[in-house]
Amino acid sequence: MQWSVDVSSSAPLFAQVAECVRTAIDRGSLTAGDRLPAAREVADALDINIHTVLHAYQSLRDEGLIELRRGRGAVVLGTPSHQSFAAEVAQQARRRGLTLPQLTALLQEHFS
Amino acid sequence: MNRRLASLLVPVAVALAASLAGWAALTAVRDELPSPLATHWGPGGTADGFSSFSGVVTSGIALSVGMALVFALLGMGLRQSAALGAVASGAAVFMAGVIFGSAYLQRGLADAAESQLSNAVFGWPLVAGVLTAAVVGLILRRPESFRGTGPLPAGSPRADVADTARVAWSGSLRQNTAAVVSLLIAVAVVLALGVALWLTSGIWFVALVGVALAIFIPLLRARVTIDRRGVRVTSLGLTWKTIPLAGIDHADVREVQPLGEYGGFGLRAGFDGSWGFVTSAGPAVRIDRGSDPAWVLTVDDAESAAAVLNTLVERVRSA
Repeated sequence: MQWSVDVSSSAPLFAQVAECVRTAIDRGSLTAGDRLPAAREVADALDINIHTVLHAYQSLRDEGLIELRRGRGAVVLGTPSHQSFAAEVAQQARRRGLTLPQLTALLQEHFS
Repeated sequence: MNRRLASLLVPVAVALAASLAGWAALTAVRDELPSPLATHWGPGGTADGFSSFSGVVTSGIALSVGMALVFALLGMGLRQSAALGAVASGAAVFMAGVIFGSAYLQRGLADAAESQLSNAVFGWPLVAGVLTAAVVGLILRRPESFRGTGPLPAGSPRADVADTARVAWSGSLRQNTAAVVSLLIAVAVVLALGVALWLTSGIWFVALVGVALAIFIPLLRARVTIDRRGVRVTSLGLTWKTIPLAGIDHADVREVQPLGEYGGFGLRAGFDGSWGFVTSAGPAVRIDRGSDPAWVLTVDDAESAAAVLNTLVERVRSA
């Protein structure tokens, strides 16, 4: 999964870190059962404070997206909202000039 | 002398040196050796094949040098001359050790028919062979010297982040449950056999092979990190490989077939001259290192890994 934080952005760093995880879950780069890297590793990789990452992990835990276990670290529980997947499909469909009814009809063939 | 030629000559020289050492050792104790010498042992460990002193020496030299040539030439053909040159040297030492060693151990016997196959015949040559391969590998290896310059190739993927953003990528080698389970079973079987042999007959080299195989289990599940410090492949806190950003030309995504392109799974030398941590067929990030061998890592989300890596490489070059 990709991690990125922009120190010049107005969004708090911990929120940006948490958003990286949410995006990864939503895109499918992270699935339930995957382990996140240790907070220390993420902090070193992005050259930010470890407490920023810990704060991010705690907020993700409070949201119910991950579980923090002693010894095992951060494990993804995540239920993806599939929102970004849907947005990608809609964008591709629009590019091809497909309407929603046309897209639905096409998809139905593959789900039967 | 160019490196490829060295990868052929060094193993042959090692084979000759090991054979001559074996010949010298046998000659020194020739009076104590039975004639003929036992050269083959049957299932019970009893001798059933014999040869003359000169027969043993000739076969020792021929097989040791032959082994070296086969692997060295294979290496040149597969564009992995350094790696196979190392294997060739180790195999030659092993061969010479087994042939000359098994003869040497017959000293003091009146009749070669009395000789029993001993554990030492395979164990110590195996250790010597592995050490030889390691040393020769270090000697033949070309130091990584490539430094990336200039713009990335057109169309190279990049991460969709602001120039001021810090970016990194984390993941692990794609899980191949079948491979991991097979390896676990193989290790368990070899270790069980090895421990049983050790306890009953004092034969320890099988157990040693089991331990060596076990080292590859964490490799199959290694984590990959890509950040401003480079690419790192790690497991259990140990680093298998580091690639600095400066030593990278660019990254892209490839479909990889471990069996067809790397001859198997794990940390492998590729038939195209690249190296790879290849755990499962499918998408991989290919790290092009110009004149140095490329590295291939079978990871999921490879597009994102390549994009992040290219972004980091570009930043380092423009800094």
